[in-house]
Amino acid sequence: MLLHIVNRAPQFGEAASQALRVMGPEDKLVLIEDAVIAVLDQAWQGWTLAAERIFVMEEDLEARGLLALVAPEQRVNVNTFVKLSACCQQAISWH
Amino acid sequence: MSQKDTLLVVIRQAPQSGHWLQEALDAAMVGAAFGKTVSLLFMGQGVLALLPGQAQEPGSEKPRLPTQETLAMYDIQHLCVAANDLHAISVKADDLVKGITLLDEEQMLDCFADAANVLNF
Amino acid sequence: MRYALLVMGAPYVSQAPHSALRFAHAVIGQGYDLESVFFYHEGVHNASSLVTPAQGTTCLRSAWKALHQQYNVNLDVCIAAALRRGLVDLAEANRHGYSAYNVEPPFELTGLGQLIALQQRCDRLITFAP
Repeated sequence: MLLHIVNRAPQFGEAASQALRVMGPEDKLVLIEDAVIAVLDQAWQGWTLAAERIFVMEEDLEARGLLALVAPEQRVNVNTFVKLSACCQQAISWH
Repeated sequence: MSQKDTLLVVIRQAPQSGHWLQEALDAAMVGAAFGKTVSLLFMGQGVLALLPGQAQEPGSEKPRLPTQETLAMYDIQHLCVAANDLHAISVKADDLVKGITLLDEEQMLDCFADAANVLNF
Repeated sequence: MRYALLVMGAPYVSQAPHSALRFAHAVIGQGYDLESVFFYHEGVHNASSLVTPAQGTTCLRSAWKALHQQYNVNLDVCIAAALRRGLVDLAEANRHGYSAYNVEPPFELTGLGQLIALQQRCDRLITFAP
C-alpha cells in the first residue's frame, strides 16, 4: 500500500492525474499545498475514490479559504499526515 | 513482491526544464553505483527526453539525454516509457532512442507497486 | 520508525520547505526518529546563510538549524546541486578561489550517495518538491 502525495491542483497540471493513473486498489492519496484547490472541481476523478483513500490537508485548505468545502472526515492535519505515511509502506510525491 | 535493492527513478519534466532531467539521471546513476537495480520510467513531458537527435548547446550544462549505451555503462538496463503518454503526443515507439520498453497502464501500476524505493522527479 | 525528508523546493519560492518543516516536527512529536533532511534540486537554497527574509517572516534557515540543534537531525545538502546554484562552504570556496562562502554548519555538503543510503536505511523517505 502506497501513499501518494500531490501538491499541484488537478486543474493546473498533470501531477494529480499521473498519481491517479498509478494508484493501486489499496493506495491512499493526500492533497497538500496547491493540490487542495481540487475541492473546487467536484467533477474531478479523484473524488470517486472511497472516502478512506483520499485526504485533504487542513492547513492548506485554511490558507486558501477553502476549509468549509471539505467534510471534516476528509481533512487531515499534519499529525494524521505523518500517521498515514507511517502505515503506508512508501510515500510517493507528485509535483 | 518488492525486491529490497530496486530503485525506480521517474522522470516527468520536459528535458529542457531546469535541471530536472540531469538531477534525476544523477540520482539514478549514483543509485546504480550503490548496487541498486535501477529502472528509469519516463512519464508525461518526461517522454520528450527519449527523442533522438536533440542538439547539445555547446558550453552550456545541458541535460545529458539518456541513451541505452550511456546508461548501460552505469548498469541501468531498464528504460521504460508510458505508452499512453507517447500516444498523447503522437510519437511512435520507433521514433525514440533504442532500447525503450513501452508500458501499458497496468504495467505502470505494477512498476510502482513493485519498487522498493521510488524517486519521483 | 526512522524517517528522512527530501526537500527539492527553495525557500520563499516554493511551499515545499514550509510543508517539510511542519512534517518534520510532527514526525518528531510522534516519537519517530528523523535522521536527516536532504536538500536537492532547488532545495539547496535552504542552506544559504545569505537569504534574508523580510521582517516578521519565518527565517527558514534558523528553523532548520533549530531542528538540528534540538533533535540532532542532519542537514545534508547535495554538493553538485549546490555548486551549480552558487552555494559553497568554506572548503569549496577555498578550492575555487572564491572570496566568500554561504554554507555553514550544521548544513553539510555531501554527495548524492548519502540520499541513496538514507532511502535504504530509513523506513520512510518523504519528498517535498516545488
